[in-house]
Amino acid sequence: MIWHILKKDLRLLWPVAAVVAAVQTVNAVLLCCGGEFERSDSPSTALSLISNAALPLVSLLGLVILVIAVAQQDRFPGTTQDWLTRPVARHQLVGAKLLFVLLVGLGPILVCDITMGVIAHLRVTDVVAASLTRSMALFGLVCLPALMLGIITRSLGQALVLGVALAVVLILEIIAFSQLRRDLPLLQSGFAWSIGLALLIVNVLATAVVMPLQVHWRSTERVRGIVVVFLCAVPALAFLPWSVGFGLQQVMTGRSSHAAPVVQIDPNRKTTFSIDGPREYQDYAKDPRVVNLQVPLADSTALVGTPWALDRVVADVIDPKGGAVLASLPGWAGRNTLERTARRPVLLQMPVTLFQITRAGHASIRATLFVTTFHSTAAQTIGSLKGRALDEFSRCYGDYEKSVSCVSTRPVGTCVHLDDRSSSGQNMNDEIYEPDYSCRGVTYTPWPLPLWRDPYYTFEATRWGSSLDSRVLTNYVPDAHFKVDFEFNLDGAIENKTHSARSVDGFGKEARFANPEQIALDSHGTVFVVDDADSIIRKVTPSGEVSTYAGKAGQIGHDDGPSRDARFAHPQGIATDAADNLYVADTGNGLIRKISPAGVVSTIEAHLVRPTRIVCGRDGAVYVVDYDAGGNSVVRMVSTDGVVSTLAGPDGSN
Amino acid sequence: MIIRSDGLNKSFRRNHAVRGISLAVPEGSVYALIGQNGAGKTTTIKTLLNILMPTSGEAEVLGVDSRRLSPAELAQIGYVSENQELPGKLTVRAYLDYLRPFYPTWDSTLEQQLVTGFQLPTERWIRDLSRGMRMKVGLAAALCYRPRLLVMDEPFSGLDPLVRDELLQTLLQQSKDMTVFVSSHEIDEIESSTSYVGYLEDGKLLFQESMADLTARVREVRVILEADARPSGHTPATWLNLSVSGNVVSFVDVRFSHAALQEAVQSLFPGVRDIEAQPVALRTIFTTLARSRRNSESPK
Repeated sequence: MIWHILKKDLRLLWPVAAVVAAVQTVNAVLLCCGGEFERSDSPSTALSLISNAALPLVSLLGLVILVIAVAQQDRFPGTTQDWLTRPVARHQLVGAKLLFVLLVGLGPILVCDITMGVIAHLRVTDVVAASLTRSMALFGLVCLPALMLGIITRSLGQALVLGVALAVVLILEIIAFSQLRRDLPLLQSGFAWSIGLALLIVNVLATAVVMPLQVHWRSTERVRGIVVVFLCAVPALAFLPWSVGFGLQQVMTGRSSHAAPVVQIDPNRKTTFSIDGPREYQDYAKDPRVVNLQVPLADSTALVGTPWALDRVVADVIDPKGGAVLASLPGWAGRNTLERTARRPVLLQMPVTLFQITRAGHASIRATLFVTTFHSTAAQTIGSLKGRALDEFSRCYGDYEKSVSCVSTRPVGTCVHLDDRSSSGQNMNDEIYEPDYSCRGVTYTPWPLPLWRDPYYTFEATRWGSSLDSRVLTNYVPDAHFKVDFEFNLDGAIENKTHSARSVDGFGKEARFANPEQIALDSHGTVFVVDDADSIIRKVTPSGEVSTYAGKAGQIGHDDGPSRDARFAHPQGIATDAADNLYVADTGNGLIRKISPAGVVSTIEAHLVRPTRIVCGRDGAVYVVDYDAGGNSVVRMVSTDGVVSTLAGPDGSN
Repeated sequence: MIIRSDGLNKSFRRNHAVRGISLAVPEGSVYALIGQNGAGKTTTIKTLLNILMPTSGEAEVLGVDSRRLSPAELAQIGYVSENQELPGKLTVRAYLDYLRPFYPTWDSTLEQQLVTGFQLPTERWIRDLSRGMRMKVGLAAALCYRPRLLVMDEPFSGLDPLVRDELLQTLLQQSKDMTVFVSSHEIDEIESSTSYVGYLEDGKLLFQESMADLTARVREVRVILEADARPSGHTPATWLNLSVSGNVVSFVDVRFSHAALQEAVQSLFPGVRDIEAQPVALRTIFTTLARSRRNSESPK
């Protein structure tokens, strides 16, 4: 009987269904013929406006109208409908409506999506999965609310008026909520994806409640009240605390949460505080408002190569005398911190006012990071990068290899990050680059996750309403969530990020040094000075000429290469060996750097914590003063092949 | 009883549409539920068919609680109403085709007879049909499966006499083995075939009985006196619509008994020349009752 009722509805609604399907088909054809993967910020052409905005909007509106119309073919409110006295089982009636929505409403969209993906030479399984995901999202997020509107109203006009009224209420609510929020809401955390899932669940639950109430008891007034309350309450989902998303993730990932590796972040590793502030504060030194923490995670082996997201940061200002928490400050990891590989700093923006810190005297900050890792569900191959995307990427990364790999930090796969491992040091001065490009690929999500767009990333062509919303190549689901505590001592660690170089090259008295820490002499009588403050190596010839030998004043990094292109991070030690090779204790990076007589900088693969002073032995080994994990000074020996051994000190571990 | 209700109530907020109705409709009968507009006939029928939930009381249709009528029972019930919303965008043919699989007892031969008899334009959209034609479609769609119970709510209201006759004729032909429960204030048409009558007023069922009993107990009485006269005392409450014109007194006696009438007339009127007691048409009973009720409610 379900099929029989469906056929009757189709006989009545085929013109609307045909229009919706035709619009979707035309849109797919336009996208395949040139509108596809248009950059959202590219100059708008008539074609792209039609294929990326107008037609998807018409298609979505048509779908909503179709769903409302099919629900109202056998209208539920009222007492004069013919079907009420016919031997039509209510569950069959509802089943027919749902089947109609799936087959007639979403069917053409699914077919168009799959066809587009196949034409784009994507893997069929991926295309089917992506298309099913989108259909599922449309069903849960669009069709079910439309169905609810349809069963509580008497006519299409009434449904649309009610829908518009509810939309106005929702907008007002969103404005009100955004003004009221105090803590980091779910929407701004790494769990923003969970809102979509929650919305889907709520929609299904609401439909499961509303449908029986209306269909069996036909209590229209009560049901209308429930629907209005439900739809008005939905925006609150976006402002739930981040912990809700975390809980949801734990439920979804189950046991894998407990199998998460523990991240080891060494607090004695290079820890740089830099002062930055809102742009309206021109003089940072006088009125700094925000502390940006740059946390190098080079040795966080658990995270190397693992997609992860930093969801939340809490900074406690600690009184070192009593250990009391003087202030607890919420922070957040902005868009810069979503995906990092080894040796890339994480920038945490925390609104820690210096006033609070200085008042506390020699306070320290204990930051707690809440980190989510993801595991891959499927590896897919990127199709190609196109047009301006390539140009832009080249501009930022120089001559890069085209075999980029893409990862997503969202379980629903809406953002793409280009790994910079192939950039050969041509990246942007340790600035964290946000790739913004369009590419081809396919997004899908393991059931039952819905497709949900990451609000922070804007890389992809806006394909709202069209078949393949996001172009993500590898999909990840949340693996685990764990927190990492570490402390920063503020003593002497604060420096002005925007300071100008204090070193001045010149002859004799004209030269200036910022903060020379150690000097070394080669066989030709040339003196090399390591400058901690400016992160450079200075050279003083026997005649008294002072020049910058390696690095660039004020620029921090770990890049190897020709001495001018190499970067250091607050080096504090330097020594020469018998062959006039220079060895630099690159304190900030926790590395030993070697500079050949020809001026080429390389890195000795030795894992140190915070090397400061350095000397060269006759056996070719170098000896450094370092620290252990507990902050105790130790003396270590680094052999020519990079093996580190501890000669003296309370803790022999590295 | 094919329909039975006990203290059935239905209220819409403060409006009590049906007040404690206790119906008993014998199987095979033609039961006419009569009453003025707004008396509660439609609400009663919708409550019996589970279109509306009763506020209190209970009802059984085909031996099943009206609130639990399932497709199995509904497949034996035909329903025709003046307000029935048929799917306007279906053609008559498509509509009948759609209904057919729901009814195991659907008689295609009868369907064809009805379509031919009513001269239904099978390829036209229902919404384009005239009101009379839509009623024919509704009746045809209710008769094709030979229901045990045919419920009709004001089926002839607003129809021209020709269509009315046509519908009635068809109904009478097909209703031999079925129970017909019809609400109407157009009484003449159904009087000849009605076997039971229920009178509904202001949501209350004032009486229900067989037509034979009703016509036996209600008489239009004409008393001819020797001279002009007025009643010398209070007239019985069962005398309705009393009027005096010269030496003739007329009224409707709703509890007619020859001996009792004579005695009462003799005691109230001196010089009675003749007493005539005639059977009364259902319409007259209905209008008498309605007028009497209205008079008793009017401000004194």
